[in-house]
Amino acid sequence: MIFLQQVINGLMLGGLYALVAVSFTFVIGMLNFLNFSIPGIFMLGGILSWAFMVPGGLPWYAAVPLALLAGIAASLLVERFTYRYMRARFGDATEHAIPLVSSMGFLILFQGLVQIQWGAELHSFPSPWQDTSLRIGGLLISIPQVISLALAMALVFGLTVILGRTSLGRSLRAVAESPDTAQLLGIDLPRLIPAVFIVTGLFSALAGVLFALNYLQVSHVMGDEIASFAMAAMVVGGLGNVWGAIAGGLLLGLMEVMTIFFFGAKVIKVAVWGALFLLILVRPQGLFGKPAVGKGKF
Amino acid sequence: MALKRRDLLAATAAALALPAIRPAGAQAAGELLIGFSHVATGPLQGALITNKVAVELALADVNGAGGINGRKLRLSTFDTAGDPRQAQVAARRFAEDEGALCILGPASSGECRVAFPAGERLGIVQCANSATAPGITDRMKFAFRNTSDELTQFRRLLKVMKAKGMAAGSASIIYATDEFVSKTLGESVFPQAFKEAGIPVTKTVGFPIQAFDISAQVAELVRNPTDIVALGGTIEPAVKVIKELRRQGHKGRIVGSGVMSDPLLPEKVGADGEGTLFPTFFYSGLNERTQAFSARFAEGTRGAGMVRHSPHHTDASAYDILHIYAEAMRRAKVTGEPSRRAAERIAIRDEMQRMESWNYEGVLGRTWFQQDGAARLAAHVIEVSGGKLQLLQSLYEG
Repeated sequence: MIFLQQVINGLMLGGLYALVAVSFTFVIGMLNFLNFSIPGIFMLGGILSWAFMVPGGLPWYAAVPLALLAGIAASLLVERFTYRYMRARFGDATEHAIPLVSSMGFLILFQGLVQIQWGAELHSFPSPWQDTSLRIGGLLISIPQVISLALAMALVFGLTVILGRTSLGRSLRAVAESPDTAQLLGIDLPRLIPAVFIVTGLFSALAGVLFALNYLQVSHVMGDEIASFAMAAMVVGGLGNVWGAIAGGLLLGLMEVMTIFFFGAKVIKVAVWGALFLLILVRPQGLFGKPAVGKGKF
Repeated sequence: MALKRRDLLAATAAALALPAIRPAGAQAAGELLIGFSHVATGPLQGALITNKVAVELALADVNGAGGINGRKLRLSTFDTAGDPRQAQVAARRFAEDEGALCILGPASSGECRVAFPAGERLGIVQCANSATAPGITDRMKFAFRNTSDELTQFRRLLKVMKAKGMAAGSASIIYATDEFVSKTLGESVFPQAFKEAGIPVTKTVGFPIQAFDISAQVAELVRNPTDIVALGGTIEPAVKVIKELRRQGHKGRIVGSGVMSDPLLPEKVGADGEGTLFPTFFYSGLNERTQAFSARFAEGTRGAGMVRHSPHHTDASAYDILHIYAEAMRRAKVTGEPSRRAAERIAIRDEMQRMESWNYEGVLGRTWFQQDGAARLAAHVIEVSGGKLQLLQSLYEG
């Protein structure tokens, strides 16, 4: 029974990693851009929901959409001053590390602003429900984590449909293949690229809200720990592959919990990062990635 | 190469200005300088940022009463961010560059481990207001702490539990593995105290302090229910553990240490915290002195725009340390003159070692420093009850 409980714990934890990993991998896959501001937008989703509800006094059904909108706005701000700025000025946005460093700057900026406004303390997040756990035959399942996992899969399914069957999706895939060719074919890049950042902002902020609902705590650094595992999940799943990010997230969550179960918490990082290192040696493109992703765009 | 007139003028001006250049915080004539190794940023700031308010209250008390031996007391502050290396830099800056007579801080045990040896080499007294790891001042001549160590406090907590007839037939331990005091609690303090009290430990699990999900570790504890779960972690991880324990159905009592002593604990854990116990060496409702200090502290923190208005025991400790330094300086008749600085630093230390004879009483009660440099302080055992902190019992000995 305890083993099964730990499997459930691992999958639930993996669901959270997966949602953030999808954000990372989507931007990499479309734009070849490792966007380090994602943990910051994740944090904004959680802490702004809290701020609108607790100091702001709004009901959750108003606070959460406002926080998601703020996450999208923050993501567009990052696009404007990192990605678009570099492309407009140098005609190239990803051949060097400046946008990556700028996005890291945005992460620090978002964290700093939140710390100035609400302090470094952990804030209790009010749950709209009395009990957020489900007990089935001695097994404990966290409802927000189930929702998180289901939502991640539903959103990725929706994204797959959009990319495969709509005009917007075709344009995005064309950009992912070759932005210059896409532009020659008449795709309006300055109008299309923000769509990628809107999706990223929405996914990241939503993951932050679900995290807050599950752990009932928010702070300005809540994105830090999840970011490294989400990036690892992205690499495990394969850069640019959204379903791979889901699989990578679940695998990493399971691996983390099983490491704790069998060996204790002290070896989590050694086990998880060691396994990642071995995987990269054997299969550098990850479980579901293509070797071409990340080469020669923009 | 010919020297230009402009370069010559610049060099002359610089040479003339040299004697006027001194570090910004350096001690000036007619005042006595105390270095304040403060945590205003970083992961520990939630508990320690308000220390400055308490210290400034004490400074206002001393200078408002005419200063020390006709001289004003002045503070020079250095934000260490809780980083041990920065705490060592602060000690060197205060001692070597600014000519401070003594140092208030560093705050935490991790900082003390690095800064105290530096203070020994520099010959300057440092007194910590938050360090509670056992043995942190052992075998040192200039290191003091106005705190009580975690082992002493936890032993007293178990005594109070026994005296009150609380269930304590079995225990398990959960602690943060990568934070100095938490690790000491989980691997040394709790096992030793439980062994001495004859309470068997069923299971011990660790978690990384930054971990947001501790469901796997808590599932291990809940599998073998115990009367007590001892929790080694600072306030933020402690809140996570308490909530997760209750979510997974732990029915027993949760007991903590001084590092999770936080006036806002009931608010942070909500109903999940009901029945939680922890020891602290300051209780704001203890007497008129502590109540008056708490009222002034609340006014000060509101004025400074801070979030928390109830004093933490580290605030009370910092307040008392400044008063203790002032009294030691008064008794040592310090002048602050550079030529006598080294001797006056030693004289302050010697007065502090004789503190038992002062009959000093501060907001932490009647206190003095023992042979090992640690203060003799009470353990006020606090219970979270009805969403408030309630004093169960105070133990001064044992």
